Amino acid sequence: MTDEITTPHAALRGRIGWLCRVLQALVVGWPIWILYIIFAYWGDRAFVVKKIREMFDIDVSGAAQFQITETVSMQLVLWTVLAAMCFSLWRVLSLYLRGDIFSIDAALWLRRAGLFGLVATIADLPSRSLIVLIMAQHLPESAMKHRGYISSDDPLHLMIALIVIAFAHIQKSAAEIAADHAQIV
Amino acid sequence: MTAETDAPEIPAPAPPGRLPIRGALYWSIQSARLIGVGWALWGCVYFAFYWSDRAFVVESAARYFSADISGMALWQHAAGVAAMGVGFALSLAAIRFGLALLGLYLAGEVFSPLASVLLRRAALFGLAARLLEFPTRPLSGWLFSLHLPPEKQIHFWLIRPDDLVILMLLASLAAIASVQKAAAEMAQDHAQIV
Repeated sequence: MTDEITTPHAALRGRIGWLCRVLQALVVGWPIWILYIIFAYWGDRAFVVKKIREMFDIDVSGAAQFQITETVSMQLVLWTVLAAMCFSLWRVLSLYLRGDIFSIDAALWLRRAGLFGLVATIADLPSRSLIVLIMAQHLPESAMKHRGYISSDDPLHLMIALIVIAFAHIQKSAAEIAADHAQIV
Repeated sequence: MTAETDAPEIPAPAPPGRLPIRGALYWSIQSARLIGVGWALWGCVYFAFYWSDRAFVVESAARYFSADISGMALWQHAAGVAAMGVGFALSLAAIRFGLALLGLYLAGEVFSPLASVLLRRAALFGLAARLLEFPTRPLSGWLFSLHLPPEKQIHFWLIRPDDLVILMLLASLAAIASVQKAAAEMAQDHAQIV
């Protein structure tokens, strides 16, 4: 009886196992890369000044160190939300690899991943304006020509996060069907 | 009054593979559809009004690469935009499959083989689109500046953190497509047993 229930899940695990392992490597590597970028980018003052000039047409060469520290702190807060999303995805993938594919636990972790992704994407939009405000706070108001931007990837992030949340609801129903199915069988 | 009319109304069980779509699930799907349509329109407008605008391309090259490409020929402009357009066309196909999938979900057809096929196609086209952008970004820059001497031509390689997160999420959707296929088979099986 146990074999009858686990065989289809084992086949599924075999099909998606390699993808889950690749994704696990990505959900670990990506936040580490982002953390490296935050420190490498903001640690190079000349590069920061150049990039902010390119993106916002503002000269922040006279910014004090505390302005950079404040910006990095804000970026680190955002990073913790991204890390939470990656951790939730890691949990989902671990459950999938263990064979707990149609489980309430996997659905709940998937929903958390979607919600953290949604929060991170929404919080990222005003954070760009905040970076400008913090880095240019020593400049007159008239110096700030651009106060932020929306990337073409932002709507995609939002859309994918919403789809992941929708799947979490669907997976929860699938888990209930699977439990029901196992009892009948 | 008959016994039938006196009996309390019992909701009919959902047909196999169907799920009532309401609450958070309904709003997630509707919002995702709206964003998908908005993104596709925005992308088309961006191509039609910005990348096709020679002055915008010249100004962007000066701003980001300190390159003066004002002498660019019409064919160079067209070829550079076309190179970027291939990835965008694949993105549009991914959005199209995604919208068809979300429409199917709104109709309540959640655990169906068609839904898992549409999800897989949306994820694979999205992955192909993003992966194709890696070579087409530098290719466009190079085509725009091809009339310049080699040392002044635009050469760059750009992989952003956003690229990796999009690839990661799309690959997750591809994995979920396999899970959804198994769920559809299970729902069918479950309905037959019940």
